[in-house]
Amino acid sequence: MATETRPTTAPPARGGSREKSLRSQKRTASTAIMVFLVVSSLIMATPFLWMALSSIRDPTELAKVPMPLLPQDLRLENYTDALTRAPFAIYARNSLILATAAALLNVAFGSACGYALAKLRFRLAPAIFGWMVACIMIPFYATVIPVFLMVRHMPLFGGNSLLGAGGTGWIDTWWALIVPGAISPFMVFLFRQFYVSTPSELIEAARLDGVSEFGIYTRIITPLIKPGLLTVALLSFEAGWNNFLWPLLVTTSDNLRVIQVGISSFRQEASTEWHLLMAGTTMAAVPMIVLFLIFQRYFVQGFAASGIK
Amino acid sequence: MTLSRRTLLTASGAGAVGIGASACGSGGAVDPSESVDLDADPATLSGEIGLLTPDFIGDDRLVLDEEVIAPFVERTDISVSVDQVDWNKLNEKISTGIAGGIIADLIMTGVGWTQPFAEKGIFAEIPADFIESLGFDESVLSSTQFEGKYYSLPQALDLRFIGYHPDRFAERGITEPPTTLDELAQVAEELTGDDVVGLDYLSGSAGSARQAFVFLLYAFGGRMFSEDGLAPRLHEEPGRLALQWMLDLMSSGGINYNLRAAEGQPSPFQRDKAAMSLVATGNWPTWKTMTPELCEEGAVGMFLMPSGAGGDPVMFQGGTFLSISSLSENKDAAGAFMKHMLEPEILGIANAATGKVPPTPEIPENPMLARNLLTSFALENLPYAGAAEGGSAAYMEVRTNLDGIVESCLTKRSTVTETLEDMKSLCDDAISRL
Repeated sequence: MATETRPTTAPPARGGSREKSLRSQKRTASTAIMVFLVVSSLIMATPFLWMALSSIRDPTELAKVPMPLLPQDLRLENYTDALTRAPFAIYARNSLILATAAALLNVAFGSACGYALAKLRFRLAPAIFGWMVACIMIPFYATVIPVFLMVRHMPLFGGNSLLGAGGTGWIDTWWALIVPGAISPFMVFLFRQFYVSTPSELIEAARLDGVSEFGIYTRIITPLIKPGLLTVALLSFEAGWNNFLWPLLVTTSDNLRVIQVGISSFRQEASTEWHLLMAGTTMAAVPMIVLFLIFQRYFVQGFAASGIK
Repeated sequence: MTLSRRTLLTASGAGAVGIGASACGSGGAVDPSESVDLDADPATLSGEIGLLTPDFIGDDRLVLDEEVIAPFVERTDISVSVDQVDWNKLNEKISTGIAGGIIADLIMTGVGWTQPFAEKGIFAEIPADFIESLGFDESVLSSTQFEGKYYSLPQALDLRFIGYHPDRFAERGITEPPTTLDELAQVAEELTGDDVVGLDYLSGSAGSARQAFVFLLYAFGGRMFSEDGLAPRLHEEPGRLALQWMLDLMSSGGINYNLRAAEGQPSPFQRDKAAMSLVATGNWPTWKTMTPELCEEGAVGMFLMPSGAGGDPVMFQGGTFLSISSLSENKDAAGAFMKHMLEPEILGIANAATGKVPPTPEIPENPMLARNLLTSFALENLPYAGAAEGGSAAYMEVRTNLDGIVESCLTKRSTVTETLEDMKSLCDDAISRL
């Protein structure tokens, strides 16, 4: 009888409590991680939330100390006021064209360069790659005048002679806005990192099957790095969309100015119209936020795959 | 003859270098030394000119297009295109333009910019007899000369002085504004307390630490450079007194270096956290939007910076100056437009729009300007607007670095003597590169 009563729940109880304790540890850990992530996200999102909230505040409310956390009087006319202060429709159109062109051209040229550096065997490849990496370190301000001179002396454009003199070259044209941003050493570096991780056996096999070199690049290898294509496209689009100084330097007419130049119109020498500036900035930030939300999975994947975090 | 790939590459490379070199070497056919004829009849002039301006932003642009440019275009055959650029990027815009040989015909810059660009031959000389005919006060023309010749003219001024809350003065029984710098320091100390600082001089609400120092330098009877701009003077005794005055007042609590407003927030003076403050005429639009109660008559008292050397009080001068490009292909047309912009009526319209101060009180009555109490005070005291940055062709190189040197003294990272030596060495280095 004693043997009948012996099988008690003790051992399973011990196992159950261990399981229970493990479960509770896991729950505590995941709760802690969740709390940490929520707090981190809120910290990261705070500037954007502040921008969005300030964009619908009354300017006198912005002056209150302490400023109320939530707007007391919703002022949506900040947006309409901002839109009437400058030709934002033209600026937004120009930024869209510039950003789209930058994305497409960087993907086209950057992938070709990156593929060549990663997969084609030629003696100068390491030196060219080293040169590309070195170019990443050259600040924009160091190159701005040489690039400006190249654009201004572009032969046979803007009244220039074959020797690039006599006219204005590409100054105040779409060429000046788009061509210098059509390729970036960083994007080439990024593409090269993506292509390095693709199997070279596929290239050998394709060559044996008689696929042309261009076909191998476009139809065999490049489709394998879709996250990379998207990453470069998004980064280039973002750079084109946020470009401010270069468009300001090479354009003179309002028809070619971009959205960041429009936003700067709310800052004057001695005063800033913060409510309008925040409304304009919110409008300018929305396309980038939407693009990131749509493509974030590929974007993160792309960065993780290239080893750049 | 067969061409190898290497030969082709070498040939095309050499060709590109040749084309580049010849292109860079060949400028336009403009003669920079050609003088401007300001007596030319505008009706006989034609062509297109470009105006580079950091002002007339946002709504003000409509005023520039419709009330400044349109009347000129109507009475001449000259068209005017406007290139607007942020003040912070103006130097880059002009520098790239100079490098590329493409620069607007009429350029608007700030105080202290004239000598550096005149020295580089970018600005054309403006005939002295025309300037004399305008009747502008000598104080507003001090920043327009280089080597005794005129190269720019003030179109708008941004002037700085001291503002105070009259009720704070009344609470402490102070009936008159201070008339010396010692008195100003004493009043600042008296007004300090109850969570209020006596003088907000360094919070940046009306300029940088560099400008605060320069203002005091002039108040103590000093100047930044010698007459010819080839030797620094800011490290001499008035410079020492200016730095020491700020340090002493910081020690006694009359100035609080840490009193700052977050960007976008109103200044300590607007929040009534400072009894007195350095005030710029350009603050008016911000006051109107954020703290309109300060714009009412009598809400703010104003006085000029008292002298520390027994002389006249002073007002700090910033502003926008007009210059004609020496590379302009249409200098006479640019000159005609400059004359048009300096007509009293146009000066009134333009400055009412931008919230700045016309360089002369002799303008037709303008209700917008009359309502601006800071502008009215500044116009009444225009002859005292002698404290101005610059005075040397090397100033553009000195400008930014001077800020850090003054800040390091105010934060006690360097002594007054070290600071003055640093200032001298900065200026000497910049001048030696001329």
